[in-house]
Amino acid sequence: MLMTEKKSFWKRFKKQSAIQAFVWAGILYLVIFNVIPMFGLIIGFKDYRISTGISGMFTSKWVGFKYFMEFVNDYKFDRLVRNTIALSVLKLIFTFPMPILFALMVNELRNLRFKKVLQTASYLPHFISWIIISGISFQFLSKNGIINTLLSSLHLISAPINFLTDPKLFWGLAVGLDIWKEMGWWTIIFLASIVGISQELYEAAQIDGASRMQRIRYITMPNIKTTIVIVLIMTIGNLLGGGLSGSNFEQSYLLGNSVNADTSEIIQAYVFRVGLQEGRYSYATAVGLVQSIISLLLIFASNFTSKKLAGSGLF
Amino acid sequence: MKKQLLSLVLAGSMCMTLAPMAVFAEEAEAEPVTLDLFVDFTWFPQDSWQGIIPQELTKNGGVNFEVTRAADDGQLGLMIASGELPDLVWTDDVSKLCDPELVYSYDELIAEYGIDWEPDSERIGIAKTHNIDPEDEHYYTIVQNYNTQEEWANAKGVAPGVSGLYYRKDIWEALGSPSMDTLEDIFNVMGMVKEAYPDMMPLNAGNNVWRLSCFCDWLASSNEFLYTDDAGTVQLRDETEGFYNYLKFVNRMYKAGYFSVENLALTVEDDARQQEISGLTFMYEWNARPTPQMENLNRDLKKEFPDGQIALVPIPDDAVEQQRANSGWAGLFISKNCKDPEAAIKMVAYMNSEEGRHLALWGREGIDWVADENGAPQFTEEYLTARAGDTFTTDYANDWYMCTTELDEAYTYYSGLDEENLADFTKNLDKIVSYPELAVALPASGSDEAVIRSKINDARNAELVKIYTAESDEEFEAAYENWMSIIKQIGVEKLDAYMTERAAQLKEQFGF
Repeated sequence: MLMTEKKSFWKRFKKQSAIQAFVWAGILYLVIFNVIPMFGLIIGFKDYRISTGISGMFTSKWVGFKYFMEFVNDYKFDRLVRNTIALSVLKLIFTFPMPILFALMVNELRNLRFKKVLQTASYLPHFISWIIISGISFQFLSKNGIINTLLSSLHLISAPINFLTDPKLFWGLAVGLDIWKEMGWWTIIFLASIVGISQELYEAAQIDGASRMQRIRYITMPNIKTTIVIVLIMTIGNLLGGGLSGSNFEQSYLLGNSVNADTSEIIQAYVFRVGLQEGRYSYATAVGLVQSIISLLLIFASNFTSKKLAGSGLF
Repeated sequence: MKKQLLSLVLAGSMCMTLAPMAVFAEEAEAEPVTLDLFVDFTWFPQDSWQGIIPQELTKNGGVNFEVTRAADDGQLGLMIASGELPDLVWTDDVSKLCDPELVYSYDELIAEYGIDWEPDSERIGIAKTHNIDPEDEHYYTIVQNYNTQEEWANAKGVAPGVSGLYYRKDIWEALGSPSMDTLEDIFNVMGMVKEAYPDMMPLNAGNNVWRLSCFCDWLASSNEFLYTDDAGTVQLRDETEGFYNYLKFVNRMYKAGYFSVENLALTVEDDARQQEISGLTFMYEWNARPTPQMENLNRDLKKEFPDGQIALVPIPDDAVEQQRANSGWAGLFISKNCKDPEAAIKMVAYMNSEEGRHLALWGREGIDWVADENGAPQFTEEYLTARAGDTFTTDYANDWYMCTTELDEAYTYYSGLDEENLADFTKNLDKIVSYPELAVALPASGSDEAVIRSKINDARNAELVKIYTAESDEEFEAAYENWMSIIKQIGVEKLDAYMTERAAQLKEQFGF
């Protein structure tokens, strides 16, 4: 009996060899690049010196939660956590719905040529790196930049707006640039989902006299609900990294400066600075781990909520 | 007989064949070794080992460098983390590399390869203070840009490197050459500029390295730590009354609209410099050097403003005593990955010799310069013409000050300076008092005190901006109190106690 089961397992495995190859390649990738490096977290609990190499990770002195306590007691702790969460939540609120709305809008367009041009123009910024975008931002948004010059010449402002240095404007700047850069790209996923909806449903609704808004509300939205939920869970999983675009670090590092640091400094940029620039690897690992734990809790919570509310989740 | 003759002919021809080979072998030995050199300064003007001076250094020192200039501040950290340090590293993060796991010690290489070089004991002492392990008796670099008090006392016609404030002399003259003898005078001149030239910002404040630093020097101290009493108590500059006065002065300038808040966010030195030479700002903070700093500013300014002139504001008469601490700022390291440590230490030894040091900064003796009665270089016309041109950096490349001293540099900057400018640069120099032990005493990398210092330095920029740009006195006081409470929370008292004890110890040890 056991032999037959074993045989059939290998038979099935062989039959699926092509598909299995993809799966195992993926698993191997995850193990090498995601699981094995997790052993490095050990240095967050040790007094590790980089010059001792990999062996130093095991031989260096245990210090327990010393670095975690140092981070929690740091005068910047509140500010870093507040900025990281605020920026992430703002992006979730404003950046996440935009591709859905844009997909619905594009889907309703009847002029095919215009539709194509709009789609292409909207997803092109996705391919521009943040370093270029920060450069463009300086040209457009600095005191003598195009926007301030335009607003001044139209007499809409009496003094230039410090878009790049005013701490009050940083979150808005980051969210705005994120929407501009990533909205078009994520629209593709929702549009693909909309295209998959049976046309018969729309035709039937039209015969029943449903208006365009009613068709969107009662046909399109319920049919793309699963896609929305999956993308939402993925977004929440990477919430502290910047959600859909994962751009929190780049924005903080490139658009942040000493003048707007009160709102622009976030955990990831702090980890980069203390870890790589100051060489405090153990401390940086502990700080990074705190953020990872928060992210993990968020993904479990969102999956649980999604299952309760929408009846479906990621796992 | 025939056989003997044949043997002789054969032996002779063998000798003839071997002779050129011996010469070739000698030539091969003289062939320079190529080693990788990482320059840990994003701002460094050179990214290759080219030009008359590097060629000559290679000829005499036996090493040719493949240069990689840092693309960002984190690159060295990444190299250390990945175990991919190049053959040699030149960095100002000296303490990070004084580690036997990462680099060779100079003393061991000198002994192993029988190098004829014995660094000065004071400089060896300074190098050792950077060691990761305080008990370690080896030294891993010789920190450049240092001279003893005695050497400085004997120097003539030069000034130590301090912060400088440059100004548009042509505009100042157009304003009637108002007095700039005191800090209040300087403030008033800025006001006159603002009134007469509304499109020009009186103060630049954009140079991320030298931003506002001259005012800090003049009102507080040029050093991060200073003695605050005769008993030898050392305190962080931020805690002193002078620093409070400095912050007040900056805030006054801000409220008067003498500099823009946007410039406080600039992170690229050249962006600020560009504003000065484009006529957008009147005063510009940089290090006080007649050449190449002032000379190049004037050269570039004159491209757009042929009648424009930039000069240095002398140290004001009412400036406080400036406690200066210099024990060098960068070191050249031979990494454990070095392909040829022998060639590397020979090159380092040559570059540390008087000949090597002078060649690196002044060029070829007899061709580019001759020494005057003080030992200072008097440059030839050809050299000076080249230096005034745009291609000097690439043609001569006298930027390789990896092993030079502060005086070597100072002589380069002050050579041939006219009397009027020399007077500006050397006025009130008696206000500068040097305490090298305050630089040497800085806590070793990785220690608790170093972490405190690093956290304070990290917090400083963002917190000071709030004080600089406070809109009212109440806001100013609140921001100042907040900064005091932050440094206290980080642990400034522990740092002060450490510095006080260590400075006293070093003073006794080295007799500074």
